Amino acid sequence: MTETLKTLEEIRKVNASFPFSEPARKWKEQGKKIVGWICINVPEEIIHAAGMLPYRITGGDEEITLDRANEYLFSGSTCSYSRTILELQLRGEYGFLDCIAAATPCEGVIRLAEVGTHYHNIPILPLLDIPRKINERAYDYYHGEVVGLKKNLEQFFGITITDAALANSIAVYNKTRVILQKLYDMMKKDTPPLSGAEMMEILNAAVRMPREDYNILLGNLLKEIETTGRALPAQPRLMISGAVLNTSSFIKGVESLGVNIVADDLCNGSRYWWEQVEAGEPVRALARRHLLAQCPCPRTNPQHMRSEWLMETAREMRLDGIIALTMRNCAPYILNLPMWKTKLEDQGTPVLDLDIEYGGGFSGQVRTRIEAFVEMLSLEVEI
Amino acid sequence: MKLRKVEKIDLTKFEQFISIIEQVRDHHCEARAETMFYDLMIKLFRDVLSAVREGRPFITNTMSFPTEIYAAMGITGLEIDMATPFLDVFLDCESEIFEAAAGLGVRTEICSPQRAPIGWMAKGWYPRPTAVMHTSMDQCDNLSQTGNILGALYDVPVFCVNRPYRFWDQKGVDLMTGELQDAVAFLEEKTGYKMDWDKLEEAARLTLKMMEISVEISKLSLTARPCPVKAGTGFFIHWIRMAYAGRQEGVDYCQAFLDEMKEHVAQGKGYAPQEKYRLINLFTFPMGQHELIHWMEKEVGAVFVAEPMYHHYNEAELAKVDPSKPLEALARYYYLEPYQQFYGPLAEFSDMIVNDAIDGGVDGAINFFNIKCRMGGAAARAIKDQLKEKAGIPTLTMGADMMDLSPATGADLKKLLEQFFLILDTAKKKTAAA
Amino acid sequence: MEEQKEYFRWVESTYVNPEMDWRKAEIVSAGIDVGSVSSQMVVLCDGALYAYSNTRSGSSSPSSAKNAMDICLKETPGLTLDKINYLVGTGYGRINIPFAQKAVTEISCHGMGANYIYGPTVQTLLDMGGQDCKTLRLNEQGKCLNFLMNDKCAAGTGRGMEVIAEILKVPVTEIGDLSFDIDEEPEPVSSICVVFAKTEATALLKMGWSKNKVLAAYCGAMARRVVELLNMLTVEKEFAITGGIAKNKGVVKRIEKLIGIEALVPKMDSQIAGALGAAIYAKAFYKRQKQ
Repeated sequence: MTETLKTLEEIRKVNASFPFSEPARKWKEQGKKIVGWICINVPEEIIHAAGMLPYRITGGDEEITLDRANEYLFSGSTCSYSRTILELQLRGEYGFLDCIAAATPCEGVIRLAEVGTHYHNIPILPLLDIPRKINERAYDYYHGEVVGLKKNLEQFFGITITDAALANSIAVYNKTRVILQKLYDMMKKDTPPLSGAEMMEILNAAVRMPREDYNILLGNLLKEIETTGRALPAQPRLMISGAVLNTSSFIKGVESLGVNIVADDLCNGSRYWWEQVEAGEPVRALARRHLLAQCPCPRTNPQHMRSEWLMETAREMRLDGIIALTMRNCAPYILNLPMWKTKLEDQGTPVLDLDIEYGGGFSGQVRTRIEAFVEMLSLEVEI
Repeated sequence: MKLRKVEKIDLTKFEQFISIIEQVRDHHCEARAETMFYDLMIKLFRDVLSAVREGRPFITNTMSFPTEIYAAMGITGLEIDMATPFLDVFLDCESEIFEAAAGLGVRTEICSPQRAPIGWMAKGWYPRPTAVMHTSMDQCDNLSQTGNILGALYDVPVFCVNRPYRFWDQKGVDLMTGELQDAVAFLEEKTGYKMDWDKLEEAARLTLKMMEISVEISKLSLTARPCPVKAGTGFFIHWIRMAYAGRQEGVDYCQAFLDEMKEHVAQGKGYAPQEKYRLINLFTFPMGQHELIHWMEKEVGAVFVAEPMYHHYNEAELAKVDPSKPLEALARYYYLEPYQQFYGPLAEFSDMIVNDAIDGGVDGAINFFNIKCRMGGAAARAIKDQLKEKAGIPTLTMGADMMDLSPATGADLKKLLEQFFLILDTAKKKTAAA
Repeated sequence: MEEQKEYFRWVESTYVNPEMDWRKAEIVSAGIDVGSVSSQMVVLCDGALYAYSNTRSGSSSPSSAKNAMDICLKETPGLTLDKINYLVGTGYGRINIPFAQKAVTEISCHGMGANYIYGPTVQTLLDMGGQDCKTLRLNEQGKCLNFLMNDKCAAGTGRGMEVIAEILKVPVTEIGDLSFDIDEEPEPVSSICVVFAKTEATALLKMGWSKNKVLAAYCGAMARRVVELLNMLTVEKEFAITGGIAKNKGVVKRIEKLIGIEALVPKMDSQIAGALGAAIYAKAFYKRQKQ
């Protein structure tokens, strides 16, 4: 039973207008502000508590030409994700943002912020400095950074962010995490209720609309799944791993080969929503959760945390294979992959290392490799 | 290829390298700064072999771990991503090494000085260390991670030192100081050697001395005409400061470097027969392109009076250093070392570059521009625009690689340089006419 | 006017097993491999090789497939498409073969085909196709356990060889032998990118290099690049090669020298490996369908 869910149609409307979504447009028409953010270490809750709409800056559902961005960020070394964002900024498509809150997760994003600021005119707040190794000192340090973000937002907009507002925002965003966890758990079934492509559309909408409204949509989605008993056919179960991936059409292409994408290791996927903010002093709790959620970004040390999470997930989600989308020039991902690939293979989960560009479509060379991988996993015939 | 522990270690090539650089020292050096450099390299590599053979602890680190700590603990250390490119170039084994790294999935997008260490360990040609230390050299993504692969290849413990992005504020210094404290504890545990805190203070003083001498080197290099610095030696002093941090040999080298420059200034002599173009170098020369550099210096008369990533020190910050708090001093040295700043906030190092260009009365800038570099390399256009706007000079940006010749051969680079010198000639004529 | 000789041309071929009668077979299965440079059709009778064609690809995948089929079936008395129980398409054009029941990638098919041609001991297969080059790790059943593809450049591909043949005006089929008719093995050229091939070849000839020496340098460079790919998956014996360039001694011998392992010698045209594997899958799909 795989009819389109009504809620999914609502979600598609949100994603249809990119990058300036309908909800964002309505928000601005009310005279309210939008703060763009890059990198999941930036606590959206602070922006939300300030009364602004936090809006993730990404590329859309198709690859675009990057001629303008390539003039300022060298294409031979900067990842296509950073250049796509810069291109959109240079074209003025993110002009609706009042300012940007970004961090220092990796070189691509750092240079995007620092170089971009000379060539486009969206104000960027001082970058949040993210430690690359997790220990108590790093948590303390990061707490200081998040305090800084709060102060910078207050100063920029001439407002005050109260603890009560923060507590409320945390509750709102935690709600999302709870529901997404429920959806993710449903993907453990042999016959999951959603395809990976649909999950991606759902995730894309999260960061392009007011969170309260999104939570309502998510709640409706859960209900709809439960009442319709939606179930996709049981097929080989794969995970997509990578840096950032926003193109649901790509996932659709992969799934058209006869597989279900039941899990993800993506910056805008499970790494984004996993783990709630705990109770306690809100800024400290936010810093803690946002420095390290359970499934760390490849840039994080010590790296065994990632290997362990991936091995655990492969077992829990009963993965038949993993497609590792290695975006060209994403050094954290490239250098982290050897640390877990052999371990996953030894554990019985084959891994396909596929090099791609951000926003790249599912066609030709990419298709052949993925198809061959799927055949490797599932083409069992008596010869 | 699967990532598995490398069982067999073969140090034949490592040993061969020492004989080769002995030959280079004896036959191919013009300046004392070069001869002394090779002497110190030979000593470094020999010490490593002795330590390994005698069963004493040997620690290897990727770029920019404060080696004063080794000096004060009596540990033998070697920085693997400065050593292995050198090993590759002189042993002519780059392709085998890169292939070994590629087999593990480490693609060519990763800068060659970080693929080389992985290749050397994958082949078992590098001595097995007691542990691997790594840090991100400000914000380099490669260096934040390669230590992990190296540790896994040889199945030895790994320690990561966190680095802040903004480094002149106390918060950043405190973070580093705390991290270095942990690093010392880690080394004590793994090597069984204890930190001698008096020796560390002494080491901190010696590094400070090196930096103070380097400030003089920078000033003299920018202002003396003709330029008294031999092309390529900026890289040497940079490596010596790192490898011999906190050691008297390091101080002696820096002093000898400065003295040699002063001798040339006194004699009104440069290394170029005729100084035609005063240039600023924005990045490491591609290793193994000796002929190109030689041609520039001797035939064209193009001299590098400014190499900010090797010589430019922030004197105001230098003044804050207190060696009696050695770990904090080391934390500060981290950022004072100019090379680090090229991998940090753009505003910092673009200021360094612009100031040097102006102070050196420079005609043009050359960015050898490691095309794989996401920090230094990615900002090439922004730097070029800053130099044009604030110093009024043109920049040649060349897509090269620090040691891998496939992106651009010497011949390709030479053509680009020839064209650039024509541009500089035209600019000079315009200025003369005006 | 001088006739324009096409140096890239190689001889198209067909084969029919005279001792087989397709009418007696329980299952007649077929495979068509449509590549960018060449297309093949293979027909099996109960899993044994009956007939094949090896043709040059045309401008479109459907027409290349049809052409390969027409040429193959012209030799098979009375066998027409409707008498074939199951047909699988593979290769670059596999999803555009209108009369194929299913498409399977050339990676899986080459593995299966190599297993038939070379036997169950093949663990490392190198396929040097028209526009891409791949290495496969196989098990005894011919199933692919791991693979790596290089389709970014012409190293180890038919297209790369054809470009050199045209530039030096040497028939592509003669390159191998000529590349060994030299005094001393030259250094491989540094850049074998076909974009630069013409400039580089011209420069070498101007420097006084003979055509054979230039060929040797190119074959050497190609072999090196291919070996880089092979080493990424490591080479385990037995080692075998399929694809058009398997017939080019100039590249093959140099690869063998670099890896220190000799390739197995095929008992039939290894260029049909893809279509052969497809035909084997076709038989299996048909059997499963009937159950």
